[in-house]
Amino acid sequence: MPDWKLLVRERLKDEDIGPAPREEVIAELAGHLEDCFEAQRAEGAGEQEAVEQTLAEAADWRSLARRIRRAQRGPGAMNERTRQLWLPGLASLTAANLLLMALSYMSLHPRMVAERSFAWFPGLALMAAYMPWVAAQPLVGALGAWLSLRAGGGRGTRLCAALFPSIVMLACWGVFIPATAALEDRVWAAHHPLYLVLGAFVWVAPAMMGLLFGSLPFLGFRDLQGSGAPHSYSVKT
Amino acid sequence: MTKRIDFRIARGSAELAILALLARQPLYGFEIAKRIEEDTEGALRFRLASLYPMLYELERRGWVKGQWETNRAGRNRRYYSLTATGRKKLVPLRREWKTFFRALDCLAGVTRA
Repeated sequence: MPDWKLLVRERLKDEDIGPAPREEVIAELAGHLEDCFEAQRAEGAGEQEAVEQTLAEAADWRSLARRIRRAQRGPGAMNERTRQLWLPGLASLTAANLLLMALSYMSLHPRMVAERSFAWFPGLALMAAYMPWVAAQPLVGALGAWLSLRAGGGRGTRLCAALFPSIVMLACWGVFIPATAALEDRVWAAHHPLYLVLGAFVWVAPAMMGLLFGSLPFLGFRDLQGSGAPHSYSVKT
Repeated sequence: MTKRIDFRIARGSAELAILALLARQPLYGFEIAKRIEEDTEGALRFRLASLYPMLYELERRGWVKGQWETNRAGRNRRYYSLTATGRKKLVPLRREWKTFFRALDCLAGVTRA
């Protein structure tokens, strides 16, 4: 009789079988093969035939390892997170940024008017882009939360997807700009740290409030995970 | 009343077979496969490659629990038993399958054939 444990260990040697203790999985599969072999022998099969029948239980060990790994890690845990958080978050971030770009462009055109406005009130062009942008944030937050809800995201995930543009903005003001200032002396933030704090506040806090406000209608729903799966049969009884 | 049948029908049938069996008593992998084959007179058969991924998935979901014990032959085997969650899941699963077979019967006269 073959050493089934050795055989299983050998077949799975280069395979990732997931987070379960490897030796336990090997022992369990080897135990199954051992029982299978003995059952074949008890039914009158010769040793060689019994071994062949037993090995037919798992012809493709690579595929078995993949299926075990998938079973232990869950069906596309990463995919689920992508659908419920990253894609809705990316959608809200894209919407917020495209909106800001469009509003900035519009506030500077026509150029003649913009230049005269600058002379009259230097912050006008900025305000003309900033105020509508902040006002539109509830729509962006609603988009992120709604997409996450549709994908079955939990309440926390929906909130994160909605607030994603502000989280990224906060990371920019809190990490990237200070890091750049530390590396390059010419960056304005190195000489005006107070402006950095003010800038962070102005670009993060009001927008975040707007995003939160827009996401509120979608945060009250119960988690749809599991019930959102499509069904292929519908019968009347 | 409209009832919906889960689209993962083949997968569901395997889940139902295992859960229904474990609802009676804890069994280890080989016993599960053997009992399913015997009870269905060979109509359903699990091989190692199909059984263990399914058991690990059910365990991950918390529907079954595996525990090493010594069997009657004195060998260490991992016995699976149904958890409280698994027991709860079995009820709607059974109902869904009944609905499915009734629907097939209406359509194709399966039980009259």
